[in-house]
Amino acid sequence: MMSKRILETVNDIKAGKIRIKELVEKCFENIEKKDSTYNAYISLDKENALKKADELQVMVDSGKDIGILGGIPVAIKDNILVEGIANTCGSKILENFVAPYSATVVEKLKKSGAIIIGKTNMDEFAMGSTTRTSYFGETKNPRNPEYTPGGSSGGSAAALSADMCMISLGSDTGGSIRQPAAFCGLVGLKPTYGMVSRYGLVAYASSFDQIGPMGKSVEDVALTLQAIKGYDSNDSTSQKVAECDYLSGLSKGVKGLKIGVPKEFFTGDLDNDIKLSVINAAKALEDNGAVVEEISISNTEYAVMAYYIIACAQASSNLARFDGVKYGHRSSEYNNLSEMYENTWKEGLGEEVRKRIALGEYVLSSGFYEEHYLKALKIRRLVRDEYERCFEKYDMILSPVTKTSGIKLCEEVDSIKLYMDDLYTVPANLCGYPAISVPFGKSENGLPIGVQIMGPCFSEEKILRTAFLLEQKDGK
Amino acid sequence: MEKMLEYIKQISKVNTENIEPLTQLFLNEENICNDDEKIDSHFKEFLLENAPDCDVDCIIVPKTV
Repeated sequence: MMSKRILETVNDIKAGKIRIKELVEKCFENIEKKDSTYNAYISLDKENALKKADELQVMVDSGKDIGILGGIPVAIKDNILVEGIANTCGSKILENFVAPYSATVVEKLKKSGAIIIGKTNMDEFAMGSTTRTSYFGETKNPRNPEYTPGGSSGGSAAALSADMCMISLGSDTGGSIRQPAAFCGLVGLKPTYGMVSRYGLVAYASSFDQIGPMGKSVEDVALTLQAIKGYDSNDSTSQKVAECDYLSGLSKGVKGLKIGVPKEFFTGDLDNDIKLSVINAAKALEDNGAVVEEISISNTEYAVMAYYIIACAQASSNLARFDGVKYGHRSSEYNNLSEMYENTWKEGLGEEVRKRIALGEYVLSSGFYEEHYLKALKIRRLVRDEYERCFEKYDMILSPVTKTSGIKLCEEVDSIKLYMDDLYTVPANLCGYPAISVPFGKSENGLPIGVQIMGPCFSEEKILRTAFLLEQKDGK
Repeated sequence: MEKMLEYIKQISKVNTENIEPLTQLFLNEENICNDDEKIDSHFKEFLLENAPDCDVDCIIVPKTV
């Protein structure tokens, strides 16, 4: 029941073949059975979910419209506010913080009939790519529990992969939706910056952060995007975009589309399995009428460095609000205000978060600002200009999502290496482009592999239908 | 931390002469100004419930003076 496609499930609910309460109860049954192993959820909202299921069922029984996601159980990353539920961001400092209002995406999901099941585990304040920096313990990958699900939206990916929800929302600042989607064999979309409201998302790096959906199929992701997209006056970076039906265009195919594959992405320590998957994906697209050509993108390594400088600078500003004064954890060990601030951060924040805040403060400090932060912003323009020129000739870019097909839970990985592994995903955040990770092929050890399709701003329709085609051709 | 600083220092190798910094991805033509309106909410109760230390109506902070 939980592994069915969303559209099919909603139709079955409307036709009376599935009772909504039965679906929601099945979801909680799976959570009870499996989450002690995977640790995908930080908090659950069973009482309200069952109440909502009853309300929606009354609507179905009386012939009323329940919305495009009517009755579908959804998991929300724990940095997206849901009114009345704890919102921890995977951090001790927010352990007891209860959200006073819901994010716009949550309101939109509810209006579409979705049922919020709970909040999912994540790297602390979304700073990480393994979900190991969470104060609430590491999450395991349901595809192989010896591996991490990736991160930072690792809980959202694991919950979905283990049938503990049917759709999930994550946030993507440098690849945090696409990388866990790739590691867990799911589809993950980072929409164009400004297409989905960030109101109610706890900010990490405001000029990169973007909420997006994860699903078991491209169709599920397209349907969820349809529900959550749209202009929001509560988000000053929200964009007014022409209406588009992402579902109806999925089967249009890729005939005539021009796709570039950057040759620089195939050097260095990229796993052979992944290289082969991208080559096979390129062949599948060519066989179906797309024109695929090798292209060159320079400055790729410097793009990652610029990304980290800007992200940490913005994080140091955004996280200054967690000072133990108005909300969140406050140290009890202090004699004056300065000591309270200092001890609150020492006790409330993990090492990775404190490291990134310190780096952010350093690059913004007088004497280092121009050399680091300003320079990084200039590199950001260089990178975007180069991709813009590329998109004058090509409709989209095909690439790997990750360098490897997984990270073992017991594996100690150097943090600089982890940063460099974001090579394929950060350009979409630096430039605001939409990008999708779709499963294509498997590694030697049986783990799923994701390939990435990135397009210019607001090209979601094209990248979704390209991903849809690859989904049909995967394993064939 | 030292490793991180060493890592980011490598950006000095990139020639950015005459390049303008990219600070905004999209420039919205108008500033969004929502009207002030009084609404019924339990925001005050929520704020006080979330505060680490509070009195009946106030958040308590350490003395600064």
